[in-house]
Amino acid sequence: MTLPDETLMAFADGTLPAEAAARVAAAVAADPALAERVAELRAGGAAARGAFAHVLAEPVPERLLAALRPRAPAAAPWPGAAAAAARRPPRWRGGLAIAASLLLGLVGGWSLRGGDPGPGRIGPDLAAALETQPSGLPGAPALLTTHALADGGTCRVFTLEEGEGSLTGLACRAAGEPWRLQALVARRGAAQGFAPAGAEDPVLADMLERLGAGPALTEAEERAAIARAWRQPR
Amino acid sequence: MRWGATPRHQRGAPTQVTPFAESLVALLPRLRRFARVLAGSAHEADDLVQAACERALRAEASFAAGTRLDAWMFAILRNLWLDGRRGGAARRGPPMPLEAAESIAGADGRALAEARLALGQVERALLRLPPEQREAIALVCIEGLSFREAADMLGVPIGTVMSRVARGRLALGRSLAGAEPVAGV
Repeated sequence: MTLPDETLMAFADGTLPAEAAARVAAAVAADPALAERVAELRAGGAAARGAFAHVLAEPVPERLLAALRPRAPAAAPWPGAAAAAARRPPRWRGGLAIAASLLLGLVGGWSLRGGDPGPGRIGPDLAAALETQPSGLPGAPALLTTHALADGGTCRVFTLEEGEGSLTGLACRAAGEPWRLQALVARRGAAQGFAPAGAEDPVLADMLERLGAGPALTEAEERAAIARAWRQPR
Repeated sequence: MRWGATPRHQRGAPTQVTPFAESLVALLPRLRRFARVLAGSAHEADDLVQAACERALRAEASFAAGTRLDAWMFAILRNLWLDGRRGGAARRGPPMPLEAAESIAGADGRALAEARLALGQVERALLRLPPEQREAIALVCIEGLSFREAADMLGVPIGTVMSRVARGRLALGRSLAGAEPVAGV
Protein backbone atom coordinates (compact mmCIF):
# COMPACT_ATOMS: atom_id res chain seq x y z
CA MET A 1 0.00 0.00 0.00
CA THR A 2 1.32 3.46 -0.83
CA LEU A 3 0.37 6.52 1.14
CA PRO A 4 1.40 10.07 0.32
CA ASP A 5 4.21 11.48 2.43
CA GLU A 6 1.93 14.29 3.60
CA THR A 7 -0.44 11.73 5.10
CA LEU A 8 2.39 9.80 6.72
CA MET A 9 3.74 13.06 8.11
CA ALA A 10 0.37 13.96 9.62
CA PHE A 11 0.23 10.46 11.08
CA ALA A 12 3.73 10.83 12.51
CA ASP A 13 2.71 14.15 14.05
CA GLY A 14 -0.55 12.76 15.42
CA THR A 15 -2.66 15.29 13.55
CA LEU A 16 -4.79 12.87 11.52
CA PRO A 17 -8.43 12.41 12.52
CA ALA A 18 -8.91 9.24 14.57
CA GLU A 19 -10.46 7.18 11.82
CA ALA A 20 -7.80 8.03 9.24
CA ALA A 21 -5.09 7.53 11.84
CA ALA A 22 -6.37 4.03 12.57
CA ARG A 23 -6.28 3.16 8.87
CA VAL A 24 -2.73 4.45 8.48
CA ALA A 25 -1.63 2.70 11.67
CA ALA A 26 -2.86 -0.61 10.27
CA ALA A 27 -1.06 0.00 6.98
CA VAL A 28 2.14 0.97 8.75
CA ALA A 29 2.00 -2.08 10.99
CA ALA A 30 1.69 -4.31 7.93
CA ASP A 31 4.45 -2.71 5.87
CA PRO A 32 8.01 -2.26 7.20
CA ALA A 33 8.83 0.17 4.38
CA LEU A 34 5.99 2.45 5.44
CA ALA A 35 7.05 2.14 9.06
CA GLU A 36 10.57 3.19 8.12
CA ARG A 37 9.23 6.19 6.24
CA VAL A 38 7.21 7.27 9.24
CA ALA A 39 10.27 6.90 11.46
CA GLU A 40 12.34 9.01 9.06
CA LEU A 41 9.68 11.71 8.91
CA ARG A 42 9.55 11.74 12.68
CA ALA A 43 13.33 11.88 13.06
CA GLY A 44 13.60 14.57 10.38
CA GLY A 45 10.94 16.68 12.08
CA ALA A 46 12.57 16.38 15.48
CA ALA A 47 15.97 17.26 14.05
CA ALA A 48 14.58 20.24 12.14
CA ARG A 49 12.91 21.65 15.25
CA GLY A 50 16.24 21.94 17.02
CA ALA A 51 18.28 23.10 14.06
CA PHE A 52 20.23 26.32 14.62
CA ALA A 53 18.75 26.57 18.12
CA HIS A 54 22.16 27.74 19.33
CA VAL A 55 21.64 30.94 17.33
CA LEU A 56 18.92 31.94 19.81
CA ALA A 57 21.47 31.86 22.60
CA GLU A 58 24.05 33.96 20.80
CA PRO A 59 24.42 37.60 21.77
CA VAL A 60 22.71 39.75 19.17
CA PRO A 61 25.36 41.73 17.24
CA GLU A 62 25.49 45.36 18.19
CA ARG A 63 24.93 46.49 14.63
CA LEU A 64 21.46 44.91 14.60
CA LEU A 65 20.48 46.61 17.84
CA ALA A 66 21.88 49.87 16.49
CA ALA A 67 19.67 49.56 13.43
CA LEU A 68 16.63 49.61 15.69
CA ARG A 69 17.67 51.78 18.61
CA PRO A 70 19.24 55.18 19.13
CA ARG A 71 22.98 55.22 19.01
CA ALA A 72 23.63 56.31 22.60
CA PRO A 73 24.63 53.08 24.36
CA ALA A 74 26.37 51.57 21.37
CA ALA A 75 30.00 51.16 22.28
CA ALA A 76 32.52 50.08 19.69
CA PRO A 77 33.55 46.47 20.32
CA TRP A 78 37.15 47.61 20.69
CA PRO A 79 38.74 51.03 20.59
CA GLY A 80 40.30 50.65 17.15
CA ALA A 81 37.13 49.42 15.48
CA ALA A 82 36.01 52.72 14.06
CA ALA A 83 39.46 53.51 12.77
CA ALA A 84 39.81 50.04 11.31
CA ALA A 85 36.43 50.37 9.58
CA ALA A 86 37.51 53.67 8.09
CA ARG A 87 40.76 52.10 6.82
CA ARG A 88 39.02 49.04 5.51
CA PRO A 89 39.64 48.59 1.80
CA PRO A 90 36.77 47.68 -0.51
CA ARG A 91 35.91 44.11 0.29
CA TRP A 92 35.17 43.04 -3.23
CA ARG A 93 37.46 44.46 -5.83
CA GLY A 94 35.70 44.35 -9.14
CA GLY A 95 37.48 42.67 -12.00
CA LEU A 96 39.82 40.64 -9.86
CA ALA A 97 39.69 36.94 -10.00
CA ILE A 98 37.31 36.25 -7.19
CA ALA A 99 35.25 33.75 -9.08
CA ALA A 100 33.37 32.46 -6.15
CA SER A 101 33.49 32.55 -2.48
CA LEU A 102 32.14 30.08 -0.10
CA LEU A 103 31.81 29.90 3.57
CA LEU A 104 32.70 26.40 4.47
CA GLY A 105 32.19 26.10 8.10
CA LEU A 106 31.72 28.29 11.04
CA VAL A 107 32.78 26.79 14.27
CA GLY A 108 30.90 28.75 16.86
CA GLY A 109 33.31 31.15 18.46
CA TRP A 110 31.50 30.90 21.72
CA SER A 111 32.68 27.32 22.08
CA LEU A 112 36.07 28.79 22.86
CA ARG A 113 35.18 29.32 26.46
CA GLY A 114 33.25 26.11 26.90
CA GLY A 115 36.37 24.01 26.83
CA ASP A 116 34.56 21.52 24.59
CA PRO A 117 37.29 19.22 23.29
CA GLY A 118 35.33 18.08 20.25
CA PRO A 119 34.95 20.58 17.43
CA GLY A 120 37.68 22.78 16.08
CA ARG A 121 40.68 20.58 16.79
CA ILE A 122 43.45 21.36 14.38
CA GLY A 123 46.26 19.39 12.87
CA PRO A 124 49.82 19.42 14.24
CA ASP A 125 51.33 21.43 11.36
CA LEU A 126 48.90 24.25 11.76
CA ALA A 127 49.13 24.07 15.54
CA ALA A 128 52.91 24.41 15.40
CA ALA A 129 52.67 27.41 13.08
CA LEU A 130 50.10 29.07 15.31
CA GLU A 131 52.34 28.55 18.28
CA THR A 132 55.58 29.99 16.97
CA GLN A 133 55.35 31.53 13.50
CA PRO A 134 55.33 35.34 13.31
CA SER A 135 52.68 37.04 11.19
CA GLY A 136 53.55 38.34 7.77
CA LEU A 137 56.03 35.66 6.72
CA PRO A 138 55.40 33.49 3.68
CA GLY A 139 54.56 29.91 4.44
CA ALA A 140 51.92 27.24 4.35
CA PRO A 141 50.17 28.23 6.43
CA ALA A 142 51.08 31.91 6.51
CA LEU A 143 50.02 33.78 9.63
CA LEU A 144 48.37 37.12 8.94
CA THR A 145 47.46 38.78 12.22
CA THR A 146 47.25 38.14 15.95
CA HIS A 147 44.54 39.53 18.23
CA ALA A 148 44.27 39.54 21.99
CA LEU A 149 41.01 38.64 23.74
CA ALA A 150 39.90 40.48 26.82
CA ASP A 151 40.04 37.33 28.96
CA GLY A 152 43.67 36.60 28.16
CA GLY A 153 42.98 34.38 25.15
CA THR A 154 44.52 34.87 21.74
CA CYS A 155 43.23 34.59 18.17
CA ARG A 156 45.32 34.29 15.02
CA VAL A 157 44.29 34.63 11.40
CA PHE A 158 46.05 32.29 8.99
CA THR A 159 45.86 31.45 5.32
CA LEU A 160 46.72 28.46 3.20
CA GLU A 161 47.17 29.04 -0.50
CA GLU A 162 47.06 26.60 -3.33
CA GLY A 163 46.83 26.95 -7.08
CA GLU A 164 43.06 26.84 -7.08
CA GLY A 165 42.32 29.14 -4.23
CA SER A 166 42.92 29.79 -0.61
CA LEU A 167 41.62 29.03 2.81
CA THR A 168 41.65 31.72 5.42
CA GLY A 169 40.94 30.74 8.97
CA LEU A 170 40.69 31.97 12.50
CA ALA A 171 42.13 29.93 15.35
CA CYS A 172 41.88 30.93 18.98
CA ARG A 173 43.01 29.64 22.31
CA ALA A 174 41.96 30.41 25.81
CA ALA A 175 44.90 30.90 28.13
CA GLY A 176 46.55 27.53 28.67
CA GLU A 177 44.28 25.68 26.23
CA PRO A 178 45.19 24.27 22.82
CA TRP A 179 44.46 26.21 19.64
CA ARG A 180 41.02 25.62 18.18
CA LEU A 181 39.66 26.47 14.80
CA GLN A 182 36.90 29.09 15.01
CA ALA A 183 36.14 29.79 11.37
CA LEU A 184 37.40 28.84 7.95
CA VAL A 185 36.62 30.54 4.67
CA ALA A 186 37.48 29.10 1.29
CA ARG A 187 37.87 31.40 -1.67
CA ARG A 188 38.46 30.15 -5.14
CA GLY A 189 40.76 32.18 -7.32
CA ALA A 190 41.93 34.36 -4.48
CA ALA A 191 45.53 33.25 -4.86
CA GLN A 192 46.25 35.33 -7.94
CA GLY A 193 46.23 39.10 -7.82
CA PHE A 194 44.43 39.48 -4.56
CA ALA A 195 46.05 39.83 -1.22
CA PRO A 196 44.48 37.58 1.40
CA ALA A 197 41.74 39.49 3.10
CA GLY A 198 42.73 38.12 6.48
CA ALA A 199 41.10 39.95 9.36
CA GLU A 200 39.35 42.15 6.79
CA ASP A 201 37.45 39.16 5.54
CA PRO A 202 33.84 39.85 6.51
CA VAL A 203 33.31 36.43 8.04
CA LEU A 204 36.45 36.57 10.14
CA ALA A 205 35.92 40.23 11.03
CA ASP A 206 32.47 39.33 12.27
CA MET A 207 33.85 36.47 14.31
CA LEU A 208 36.61 38.61 15.80
CA GLU A 209 34.05 41.22 16.71
CA ARG A 210 31.84 38.65 18.42
CA LEU A 211 34.76 37.34 20.40
CA GLY A 212 35.58 40.86 21.54
CA ALA A 213 39.05 40.63 20.03
CA GLY A 214 41.30 43.67 20.04
CA PRO A 215 43.13 45.16 17.07
CA ALA A 216 46.02 43.27 15.50
CA LEU A 217 49.07 43.11 17.73
CA THR A 218 52.10 45.02 16.56
CA GLU A 219 55.13 43.05 15.49
CA ALA A 220 56.84 43.73 18.81
CA GLU A 221 53.80 42.76 20.87
CA GLU A 222 53.42 39.57 18.90
CA ARG A 223 57.10 38.70 19.22
CA ALA A 224 56.86 39.14 22.97
CA ALA A 225 53.73 37.01 23.17
CA ILE A 226 55.35 34.20 21.17
CA ALA A 227 58.45 34.41 23.36
CA ARG A 228 56.40 33.81 26.49
CA ALA A 229 54.43 31.01 24.76
CA TRP A 230 51.24 33.10 24.75
CA ARG A 231 51.05 33.24 28.50
CA GLN A 232 49.77 36.40 30.10
CA PRO A 233 52.46 39.01 30.76
CA ARG A 234 53.27 39.30 34.42
CA MET B 1 25.85 45.11 1.46
CA ARG B 2 24.67 42.42 -0.84
CA TRP B 3 21.29 42.35 0.82
CA GLY B 4 20.80 46.06 0.64
CA ALA B 5 21.83 46.92 4.17
CA THR B 6 23.07 50.46 4.50
CA PRO B 7 26.86 50.63 4.72
CA ARG B 8 28.05 51.25 8.25
CA HIS B 9 29.63 54.60 7.60
CA GLN B 10 26.44 55.98 6.06
CA ARG B 11 24.09 54.57 8.60
CA GLY B 12 22.23 56.98 10.78
CA ALA B 13 20.71 55.30 13.81
CA PRO B 14 17.03 55.95 14.39
CA THR B 15 16.47 58.97 16.55
CA GLN B 16 14.02 57.43 18.99
CA VAL B 17 12.94 54.02 20.19
CA THR B 18 9.39 53.17 19.31
CA PRO B 19 7.35 50.29 20.71
CA PHE B 20 7.39 48.88 17.20
CA ALA B 21 11.19 48.95 17.10
CA GLU B 22 11.31 47.34 20.54
CA SER B 23 9.11 44.48 19.37
CA LEU B 24 11.54 44.01 16.48
CA VAL B 25 14.43 43.92 18.96
CA ALA B 26 12.63 41.13 20.80
CA LEU B 27 12.35 39.21 17.54
CA LEU B 28 16.02 39.53 16.62
CA PRO B 29 17.14 36.12 17.92
CA ARG B 30 14.46 34.34 15.90
CA LEU B 31 15.10 36.49 12.83
CA ARG B 32 18.76 35.59 13.04
CA ARG B 33 17.93 31.90 13.29
CA PHE B 34 15.52 32.07 10.35
CA ALA B 35 18.11 33.93 8.28
CA ARG B 36 20.74 31.32 9.13
CA VAL B 37 18.58 28.59 7.64
CA LEU B 38 18.15 30.62 4.46
CA ALA B 39 21.62 32.09 4.06
CA GLY B 40 23.81 29.53 5.81
CA SER B 41 26.60 31.82 6.92
CA ALA B 42 26.29 33.92 10.06
CA HIS B 43 27.56 37.05 8.39
CA GLU B 44 25.19 36.94 5.44
CA ALA B 45 22.35 36.03 7.76
CA ASP B 46 22.98 39.09 9.93
CA ASP B 47 23.22 41.29 6.83
CA LEU B 48 19.79 39.98 5.89
CA VAL B 49 18.39 40.64 9.35
CA GLN B 50 19.78 44.16 9.37
CA ALA B 51 18.35 44.95 5.95
CA ALA B 52 15.00 43.48 6.99
CA CYS B 53 14.90 45.61 10.14
CA GLU B 54 15.72 48.75 8.22
CA ARG B 55 13.03 47.99 5.69
CA ALA B 56 10.52 47.18 8.44
CA LEU B 57 11.10 50.51 10.17
CA ARG B 58 10.38 52.31 6.91
CA ALA B 59 7.32 50.16 6.26
CA GLU B 60 5.82 50.20 9.75
CA ALA B 61 2.65 51.83 8.42
CA SER B 62 1.96 48.81 6.25
CA PHE B 63 2.02 46.38 9.15
CA ALA B 64 -1.56 45.41 10.05
CA ALA B 65 -1.98 45.60 13.80
CA GLY B 66 -3.27 42.37 15.27
CA THR B 67 -1.49 40.17 12.74
CA ARG B 68 1.67 38.21 13.44
CA LEU B 69 4.69 40.48 13.45
CA ASP B 70 7.05 37.51 13.25
CA ALA B 71 5.42 36.22 10.07
CA TRP B 72 5.52 39.73 8.59
CA MET B 73 9.22 40.00 9.36
CA PHE B 74 9.94 36.54 7.99
CA ALA B 75 8.25 37.59 4.76
CA ILE B 76 10.36 40.75 4.48
CA LEU B 77 13.52 38.83 5.25
CA ARG B 78 12.70 36.13 2.75
CA ASN B 79 12.01 38.69 0.02
CA LEU B 80 15.41 40.26 0.61
CA TRP B 81 16.98 36.83 0.49
CA LEU B 82 15.26 36.06 -2.81
CA ASP B 83 16.39 39.42 -4.22
CA GLY B 84 19.95 38.61 -3.19
CA ARG B 85 19.79 35.16 -4.75
CA ARG B 86 18.48 36.47 -8.04
CA GLY B 87 21.19 39.06 -8.39
CA GLY B 88 23.83 37.20 -6.50
CA ALA B 89 24.03 34.01 -8.51
CA ALA B 90 25.31 35.85 -11.57
CA ARG B 91 27.74 38.00 -9.60
CA ARG B 92 29.20 35.25 -7.50
CA GLY B 93 29.50 32.61 -10.14
CA PRO B 94 28.58 29.02 -9.53
CA PRO B 95 28.98 27.90 -5.95
CA MET B 96 32.03 25.79 -5.33
CA PRO B 97 31.09 22.29 -4.23
CA LEU B 98 32.21 21.51 -0.74
CA GLU B 99 34.21 18.57 -1.99
CA ALA B 100 36.15 20.76 -4.45
CA ALA B 101 36.85 23.25 -1.71
CA GLU B 102 38.06 20.46 0.47
CA SER B 103 40.53 19.32 -2.16
CA ILE B 104 42.31 22.68 -2.02
CA ALA B 105 42.83 22.35 1.68
CA GLY B 106 46.14 20.68 0.93
CA ALA B 107 48.40 21.21 3.88
CA ASP B 108 45.74 20.82 6.50
CA GLY B 109 42.69 19.23 4.93
CA ARG B 110 41.84 17.54 8.16
CA ALA B 111 41.17 20.87 9.83
CA LEU B 112 38.72 21.72 7.10
CA ALA B 113 36.93 18.43 7.42
CA GLU B 114 36.66 19.00 11.13
CA ALA B 115 35.27 22.48 10.58
CA ARG B 116 32.52 21.00 8.48
CA LEU B 117 31.76 18.48 11.15
CA ALA B 118 31.58 21.19 13.74
CA LEU B 119 28.75 22.95 11.94
CA GLY B 120 26.53 20.15 13.16
CA GLN B 121 25.16 17.23 11.24
CA VAL B 122 21.61 18.52 11.26
CA GLU B 123 22.54 22.01 10.08
CA ARG B 124 24.68 20.68 7.27
CA ALA B 125 21.95 18.34 6.11
CA LEU B 126 19.42 21.15 6.31
CA LEU B 127 21.57 23.53 4.27
CA ARG B 128 21.85 20.91 1.55
CA LEU B 129 18.10 20.77 1.02
CA PRO B 130 16.68 22.66 -1.97
CA PRO B 131 15.77 26.24 -0.98
CA GLU B 132 12.03 25.61 -1.29
CA GLN B 133 12.17 22.78 1.21
CA ARG B 134 14.50 24.70 3.47
CA GLU B 135 12.29 27.73 3.79
CA ALA B 136 9.22 25.57 4.33
CA ILE B 137 11.00 23.64 7.08
CA ALA B 138 12.24 26.87 8.64
CA LEU B 139 8.78 28.42 8.76
CA VAL B 140 6.79 25.37 9.86
CA CYS B 141 9.14 23.13 11.84
CA ILE B 142 11.49 25.70 13.35
CA GLU B 143 9.45 28.89 13.65
CA GLY B 144 6.14 27.20 14.33
CA LEU B 145 3.95 28.75 11.66
CA SER B 146 0.93 26.71 10.61
CA PHE B 147 0.87 25.21 7.14
CA ARG B 148 -1.79 27.78 6.28
CA GLU B 149 0.31 30.72 7.50
CA ALA B 150 3.34 29.44 5.65
CA ALA B 151 1.33 28.89 2.48
CA ASP B 152 -0.03 32.44 2.62
CA MET B 153 3.45 33.85 3.06
CA LEU B 154 5.02 31.76 0.34
CA GLY B 155 2.13 32.33 -2.03
CA VAL B 156 1.66 28.65 -2.77
CA PRO B 157 -1.18 26.19 -2.03
CA ILE B 158 -1.17 24.63 1.41
CA GLY B 159 -0.66 21.20 -0.14
CA THR B 160 2.56 22.41 -1.70
CA VAL B 161 3.89 23.52 1.67
CA MET B 162 2.94 20.18 3.23
CA SER B 163 4.64 18.33 0.44
CA ARG B 164 7.82 20.43 0.75
CA VAL B 165 7.94 19.99 4.50
CA ALA B 166 7.37 16.26 4.19
CA ARG B 167 10.08 15.84 1.56
CA GLY B 168 12.48 17.94 3.58
CA ARG B 169 11.82 16.02 6.78
CA LEU B 170 12.20 12.74 4.96
CA ALA B 171 15.52 13.81 3.47
CA LEU B 172 16.74 15.07 6.85
CA GLY B 173 15.66 11.90 8.60
CA ARG B 174 17.41 9.78 5.99
CA SER B 175 20.62 11.72 6.01
CA LEU B 176 20.79 11.50 9.79
CA ALA B 177 20.13 7.80 9.71
CA GLY B 178 22.89 7.52 7.12
CA ALA B 179 20.59 5.48 4.91
CA GLU B 180 21.28 7.52 1.80
CA PRO B 181 22.55 10.97 0.88
CA VAL B 182 20.18 13.91 1.00
CA ALA B 183 18.20 13.90 -2.21
CA GLY B 184 17.49 16.77 -4.50
CA VAL B 185 20.69 18.78 -4.18
